[in-house]
Amino acid sequence: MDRIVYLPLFLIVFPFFGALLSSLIPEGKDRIRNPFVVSISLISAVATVFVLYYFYHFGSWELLIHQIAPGLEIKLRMEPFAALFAGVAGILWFFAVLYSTGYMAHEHNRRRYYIFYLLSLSMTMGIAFSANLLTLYLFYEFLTIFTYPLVIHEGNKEAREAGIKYIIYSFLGAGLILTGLVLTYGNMGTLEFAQGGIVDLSTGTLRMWQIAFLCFILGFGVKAAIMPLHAWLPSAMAAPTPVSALLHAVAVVKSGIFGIVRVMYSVFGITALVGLQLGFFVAALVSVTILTASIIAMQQDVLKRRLAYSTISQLGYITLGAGLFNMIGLTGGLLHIINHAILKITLFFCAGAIITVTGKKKISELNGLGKQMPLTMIAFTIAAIGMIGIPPINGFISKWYLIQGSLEAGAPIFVAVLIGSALLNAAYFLPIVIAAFFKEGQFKKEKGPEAPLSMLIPILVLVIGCLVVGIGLELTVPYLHSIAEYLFFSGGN
Amino acid sequence: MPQEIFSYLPLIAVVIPLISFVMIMCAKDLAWWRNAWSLTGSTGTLAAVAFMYQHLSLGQALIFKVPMIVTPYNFFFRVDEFGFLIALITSFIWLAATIFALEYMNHEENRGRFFAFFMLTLSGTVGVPLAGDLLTLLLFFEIMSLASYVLVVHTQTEEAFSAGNLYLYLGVFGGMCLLTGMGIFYYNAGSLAITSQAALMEGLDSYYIAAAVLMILGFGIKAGMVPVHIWLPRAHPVAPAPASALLSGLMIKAGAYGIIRIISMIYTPDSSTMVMETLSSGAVNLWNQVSEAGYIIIWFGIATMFFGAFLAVIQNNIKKLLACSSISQIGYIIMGAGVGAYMGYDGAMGVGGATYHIFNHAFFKSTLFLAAGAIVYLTGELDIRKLGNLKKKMPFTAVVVLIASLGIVGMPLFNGYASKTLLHHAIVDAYAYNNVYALYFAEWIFTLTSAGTVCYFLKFLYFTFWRPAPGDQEGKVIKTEPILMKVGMGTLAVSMVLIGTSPYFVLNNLVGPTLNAFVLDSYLVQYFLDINLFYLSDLVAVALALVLGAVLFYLLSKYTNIFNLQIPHWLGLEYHGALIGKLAVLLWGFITLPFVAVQDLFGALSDFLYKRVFLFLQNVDYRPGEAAIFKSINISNIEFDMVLVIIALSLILTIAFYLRFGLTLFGF
Repeated sequence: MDRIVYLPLFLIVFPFFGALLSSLIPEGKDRIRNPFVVSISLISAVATVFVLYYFYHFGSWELLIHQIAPGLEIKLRMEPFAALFAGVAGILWFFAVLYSTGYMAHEHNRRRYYIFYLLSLSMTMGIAFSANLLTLYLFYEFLTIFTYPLVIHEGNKEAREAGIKYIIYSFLGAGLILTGLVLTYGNMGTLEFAQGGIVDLSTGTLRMWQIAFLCFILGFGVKAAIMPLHAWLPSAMAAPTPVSALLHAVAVVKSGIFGIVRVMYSVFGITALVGLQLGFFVAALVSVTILTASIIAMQQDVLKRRLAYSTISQLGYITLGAGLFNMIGLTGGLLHIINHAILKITLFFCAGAIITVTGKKKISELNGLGKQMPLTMIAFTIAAIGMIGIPPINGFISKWYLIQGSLEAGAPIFVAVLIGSALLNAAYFLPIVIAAFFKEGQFKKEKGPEAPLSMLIPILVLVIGCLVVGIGLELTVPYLHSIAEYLFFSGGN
Repeated sequence: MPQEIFSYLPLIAVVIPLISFVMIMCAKDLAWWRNAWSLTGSTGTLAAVAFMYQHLSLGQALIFKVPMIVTPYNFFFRVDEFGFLIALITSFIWLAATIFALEYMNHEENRGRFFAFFMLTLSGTVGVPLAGDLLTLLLFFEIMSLASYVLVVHTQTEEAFSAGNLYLYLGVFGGMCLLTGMGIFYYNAGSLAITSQAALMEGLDSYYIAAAVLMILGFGIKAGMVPVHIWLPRAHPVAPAPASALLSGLMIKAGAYGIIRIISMIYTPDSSTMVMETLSSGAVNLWNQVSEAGYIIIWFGIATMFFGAFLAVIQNNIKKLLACSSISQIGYIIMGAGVGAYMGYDGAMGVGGATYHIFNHAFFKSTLFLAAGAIVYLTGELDIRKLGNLKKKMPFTAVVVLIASLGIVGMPLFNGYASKTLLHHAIVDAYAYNNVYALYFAEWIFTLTSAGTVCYFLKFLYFTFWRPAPGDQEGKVIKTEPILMKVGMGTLAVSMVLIGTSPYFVLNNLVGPTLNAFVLDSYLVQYFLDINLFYLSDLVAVALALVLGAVLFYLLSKYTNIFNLQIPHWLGLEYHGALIGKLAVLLWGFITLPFVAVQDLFGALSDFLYKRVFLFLQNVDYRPGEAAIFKSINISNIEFDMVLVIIALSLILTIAFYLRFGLTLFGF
């Protein structure tokens, strides 16, 4: 047990030094680099599993790294919500790295790519395990910086502009977060995440706390792609597909969500949240995001952009679940973190496999693709059905809990939003499936594997994961329920 | 409540076809492999369902429950007599259609895919009646909906795609309606079980009503209820014949089944409330509200049956005619369900009649579609204006079609007679129940629709089989029906003859027991079981419909050109679909307009910000010139974010300082 407590730190430090070590491998030596980065991510994934295992047997623990001033500490803590995010990121990262070895085989600058890919893993783990807002903020900033080279990887004009957009938006958000952070620290003298929150509304005016809360929500909302602040995400699709898949469907955007949930339930706490009277505002903002993003997604012809808008819409589900301020809704939101991560990474991997094998990026060029890439397209179909929220694929369960949560909050209008969005999902995902399987196209049946095995295996494993998580709900729901219970703790203050 | 016993049989019944699906997908192009697995799948399901009878005949209900699998609460099967009957006819007819399909599919492409999804659809369709709670039901309903899409678009023609799109999106919409309705229902009642809910006794608030409306809409879409029937006459004909047989014969019944379950079971007081001398006010209120809902549903049923018959009269494509006939017949069933709810505790006749008609219609409509398949398989033609004299060329099919047609028009001693008579009794009883005068007209529409049924079936029989063939078809020699087709159709035809000649047997052993599942007056149930089907008045009613239909047919063919009519485009089914499509696009334009505007606005704003703010910052770059390092921000040039961070920090510090001390300084 003694050594185990250092595992969270190990999970941050190990990929970091792994990344630095991989920088020693020359550009051309793929045969050394690929096994090296895969084993680094594999070890990280295994370590994540270990952490989760020990966590569920021995409960939470803390790890103080450095104290700057009283109340300002760099501190890690293992607790239920951290376990959720670390587990999702750590395990999916391994598949993404494996997939990258196939996808990046024909790309340039592989050395730079892998360095920053692993550095981002390190920072994501830091976000997951952070015990207070300061630590979270630190890793959050570094995640932005380390993902920037990945976004501009292509190096062309489009990628550079996307990078600039990404940086500007991210730092605007970071500035807002910092504002909220200072406001909170100034009033409460601590930034610690605590069950039930640390904020006591009586220490300042309501207006001041409302501003602080909105600073946090909009600040983290940049990465969580809440609608007026989402513009960086679709343009960041200029990045290579594994980056889009992992960073823009799982890690980066989910770190924004993670921040929002943390601020809501660990900093403010449910009592203060209700006192702020901003719940409906947040939920309404997110509802607009959900519907608008779905509608815009329908107009996209580039597959990755359509997926990006779908991401924006689906992230809204999670924020909506958190913003309903009740246990069931929160459970639904947290469930959707896992479900959306698996589903969306599968969809992006499929899109990447299509680009690698056929070079087609537009949906209108995919007619008849099911002949050439049946397995990939079956995986795509299953994930798409899951996205719509049709049982027995895993997207259904989060939708069910969100509906129950909306009713619990006494706002059936959000039920309409969720169902409307599900219908829009059907309207923009199913045509792709229909075109691929039933329309006539120029694709021919091929012998041998349809895509490189290093890409096909992650796709198939993940899509089986979708089915397993969708059918065996006892694998996720009870745990997520207990996490929601932990976050929703109202005995504090 | 019947005794409940745990059994794996329901699970086996849905898993066997699922295994067949997977197996066929593994080796799609191997003919013997997929044929063997298709037969295994449908036979296995039939066997598993049939074995349930030994428990049900003892008055037991079969249950199977696994918590937290697939649905958040329970994956739950509960088989009562009603579910059993539906599952039994589903698996039986599926087997006959599978045998037929083995031969029929020889003239289609992509056979492996067809059989695989044929099996997946079976799994969904048989799962619906076996499901024990609403979410499990929804699961199988969605499987059925999505898997059958593949069957609908099987031919991959333009027509199939446009029909398939309508089918798929309306299906998804219906599924989402169901999901919403169930979500609302669960939130308020706290239970999803398909039984009477105690929570409803406390009065129906708007949530319960919304849930009921949404669920009935969801099931109604699948059932083809007017006005959401538009997908049906387009989707059913484009599928290959075995698939259309099942779509029309069985899958729309899943919708009717759902409606009956909702209004006559879930939204009905518990039987325990009825043993008390005086009803509690909650139960009375609930009965009254269900009765009101039933009255509305009766009229939906009447509209559906009449409109379907009207559409069928003007169709010239055999499969379209049969599809419209399905709408009409499902109208009978919905009407029966409505009467059941309208009369509440006394509604045995309505529910029983609807169940009996589900049973009968499944048989004759599947047979007719299979026969249409045989016709197109051998002649390559489905337009009745180009066919003729098939009674000589395809005598076997002619006999089968004759048996089925006599059944559907309600000829005594054929299988439709009993159920139509019961439904006729039901509507007459409904009028007598409260003397609502409108229901008297409903009875007239009922008779008129029956006459219409006779009319369009005379049209079908006369043009296709009896009259001499038109010019170019006369000399054409066609082969005789292959043996597998004969087996498939023959099985069903023989079953129909048996059912038709022994209505009392069916009534007492198959249809009658289903009423045990509902909360009904036992006296009226007994009345329903002991009813004499061959009263003179009933025979007169049927004779009236037959004569009226024959006269109508004669008059229409003699004095109007309606059977040779090129249907005006505004009456055509495609036109309706296209109109709905155009309306949807228009509506869509209106809905998206603000969103697109907002999107453009944000795009412009972000460009503006980029140009003004960022370029401005670039101009104050402290290392100006062509090689300004600023223009390519990367990790080596962290200064830019530092600038932003410092600006933000100083702003924040100012605010913080102000908040910490400024308030007191300024005397707040």
